[in-house]
Amino acid sequence: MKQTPRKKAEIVLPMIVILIFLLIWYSITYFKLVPAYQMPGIADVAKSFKEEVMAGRLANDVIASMWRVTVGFVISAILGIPAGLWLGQHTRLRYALTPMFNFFRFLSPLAWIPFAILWFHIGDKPAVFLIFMATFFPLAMSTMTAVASIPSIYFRVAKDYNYKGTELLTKVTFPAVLPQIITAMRVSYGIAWVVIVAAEMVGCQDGLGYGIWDARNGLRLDTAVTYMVIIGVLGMLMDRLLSQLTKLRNVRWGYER
Amino acid sequence: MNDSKQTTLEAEKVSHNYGDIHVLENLNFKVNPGELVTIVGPSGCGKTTLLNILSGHLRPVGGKVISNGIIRTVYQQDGLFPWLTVGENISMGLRSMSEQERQKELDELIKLIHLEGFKDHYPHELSGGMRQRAEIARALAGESDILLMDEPFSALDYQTRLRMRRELVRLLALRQRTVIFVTHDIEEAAQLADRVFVLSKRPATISREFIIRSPKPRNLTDNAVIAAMKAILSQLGLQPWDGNTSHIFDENSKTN
Repeated sequence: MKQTPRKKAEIVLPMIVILIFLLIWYSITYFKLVPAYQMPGIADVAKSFKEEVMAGRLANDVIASMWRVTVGFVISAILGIPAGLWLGQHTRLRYALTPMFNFFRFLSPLAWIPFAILWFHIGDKPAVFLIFMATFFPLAMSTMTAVASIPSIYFRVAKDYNYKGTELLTKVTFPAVLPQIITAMRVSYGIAWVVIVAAEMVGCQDGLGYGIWDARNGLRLDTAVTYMVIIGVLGMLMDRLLSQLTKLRNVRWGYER
Repeated sequence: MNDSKQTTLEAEKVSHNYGDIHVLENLNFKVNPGELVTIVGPSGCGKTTLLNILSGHLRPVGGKVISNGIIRTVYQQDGLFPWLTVGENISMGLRSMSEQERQKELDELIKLIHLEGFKDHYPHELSGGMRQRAEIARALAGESDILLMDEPFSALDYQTRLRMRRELVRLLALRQRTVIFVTHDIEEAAQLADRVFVLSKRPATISREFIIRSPKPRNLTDNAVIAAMKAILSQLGLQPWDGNTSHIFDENSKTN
């Protein structure tokens, strides 16, 4: 009984905010508070949206961007999470590598654009490379920190019950940090989605970022807004999807403190 | 399985220090198979250090521990793995068994600790008392011989604590183990112990050791329990000794 009104509020309240936002947007263009060439109206955007869908460009761009992000992100996770697990267990290595990792973590991935193009030319590869550079360091760092801060009691218990080597890693260390790894994945996926738009503005012939760039070149702000809406909505949906991982029963404990 | 006669746990001239801080000073004792020894002492006197040495997690600076048998520790709290269900936690010590045997033993243990229906619950879904019962079941599972209990009930509320003492006595009657039970709770020591070691302030030595012969379970208000509490309190300097050496427990005072 308690759940239902809350669920309702969770849907209704954001709807109201969106409606108000649309109303403000509509008023600005309707009363011409800003010249039309600086701010497209809702109707223009809707029309452009229809055009892009009909021409098949939108679907193509969505698939291209999702593919690049997914490939880059999966490579990051496959390398970054084990690297973090390993580093977290070796104090000296951790000391040795933390400053270097931090350096790269704070280096905007966009700074790698010249190298990405020089090394990987055009197409998917430079974008995938940029996604990798954007997400590898935060993932590895978070995993490493999480491992380093596992309460020592778990390892004592593990020793009492004879967990060693691979079994210790897969049955104790990994599940102990899994909630934090999931959080780190959500955060770095967010970064990846932001980076892809910028990455595709150079060296790509398709993708959502390219779509915005192309719209700008043609002075089609309505198309640009269409792409912005798609980028935002897709990002939200992907985060929703990743957040489903936090509902797994064997990680719930990590979020209920 | 746990052939109690084989079990040994012995401390020989055990001393320990952290840098300049001398924690343990020349501890000598032998725990008999199937015996429950409680260790009481002023806070910060090194009780937990002693347990860590006995369990092998810490090497003493001087002396040695002689032990034979599988040792498991029951912690004050949060010793269960939160990512495993109650059943999976208890099964940790049963991995060497066949699937069938494991299920049988698990079901028996769950019944033993009265957690039927909670096998698939996670620790954070249980109360503190239920968690400690599950932890004791885990330590009892399979072939453990020696239990080291590090203030296992001190995070529980008073009434739960009273109930848990009774539970422990019942469980140990069914599944005999050699137990070292560290506590700051004098009542608990008097109710549970076959033998009590009272530790001195740092550097800790056994300042007094006595046997409580009264059968278990003991009520909190039993004469034997009250007499034992008096002896412990006076030894800790918390209450003057009234000189009444009632013959409820044997004493063999020791100053090493």
